[in-house]
Amino acid sequence: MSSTKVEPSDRAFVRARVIASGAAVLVLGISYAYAPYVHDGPVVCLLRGLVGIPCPSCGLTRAFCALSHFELREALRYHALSPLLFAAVVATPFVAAYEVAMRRPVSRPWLFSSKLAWGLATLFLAHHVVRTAGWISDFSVLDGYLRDSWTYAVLTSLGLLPG
Amino acid sequence: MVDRANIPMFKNEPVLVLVLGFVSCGLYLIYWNIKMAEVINAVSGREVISQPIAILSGCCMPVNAYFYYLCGQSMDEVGKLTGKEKLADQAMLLLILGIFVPMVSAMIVQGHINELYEGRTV
Repeated sequence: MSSTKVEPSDRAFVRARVIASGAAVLVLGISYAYAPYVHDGPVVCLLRGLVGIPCPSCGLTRAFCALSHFELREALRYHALSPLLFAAVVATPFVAAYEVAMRRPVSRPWLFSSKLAWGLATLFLAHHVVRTAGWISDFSVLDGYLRDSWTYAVLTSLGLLPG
Repeated sequence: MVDRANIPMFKNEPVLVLVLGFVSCGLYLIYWNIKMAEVINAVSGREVISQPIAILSGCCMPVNAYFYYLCGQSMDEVGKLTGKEKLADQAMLLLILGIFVPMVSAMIVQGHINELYEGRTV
């Protein structure tokens, strides 16, 4: 019986794509299963927990949960860039399968593009500035976020702030 | 081995990374991650960290934990360049800190990266 010899580099190439696909499927699965509980979940963001102001990626978990149930409008409300990232996660297993079949890393120019990185960073920056300004203007940063922070909870429990 | 002179300059006070991270509501960490990915890739002599994905590593769990794990793995090369072999096993420490206090991981990484520029003029 003849067998095709797999070079170590080939094995690493396939393994990396299997791991990436597995991670993407896991993210999608967790997003779908966690959706009913996401609004009761704890604050896990260090910035939001300590300072009370959401970080640039805050809202992505809720947005991914909404998108996994095809609730686009809800997802946009939590994070306007979430459909872009969700599409990238959905595409990952397909791109990985294509790369393994073709034995060619077609996603490499995108993954290691400095221009794309700076473009995305600018998009994230603009998005975060606009939405933070919105939260400040309608006072939701005070009512919705500062009061949810760990710092506020500690100060309240010490009696330094009204509960 | 990679020539230290070819490594992109990204020297900061570690405590400044923490302060700017908070003051800018996490926006500075996006910039920091892109620049650090560039430095780590140069130190390793290969593409270890994707810069577009590094954007999410500023605050987004669990991407930040994986980012710091990759940084920790690259500390081996940083240690070889600076003559500090003990840096080799920092991946797990940075991963755990990256989960709970990503900004502390960033400070540690920045501190080690700064050692690469000792004796180098801007």
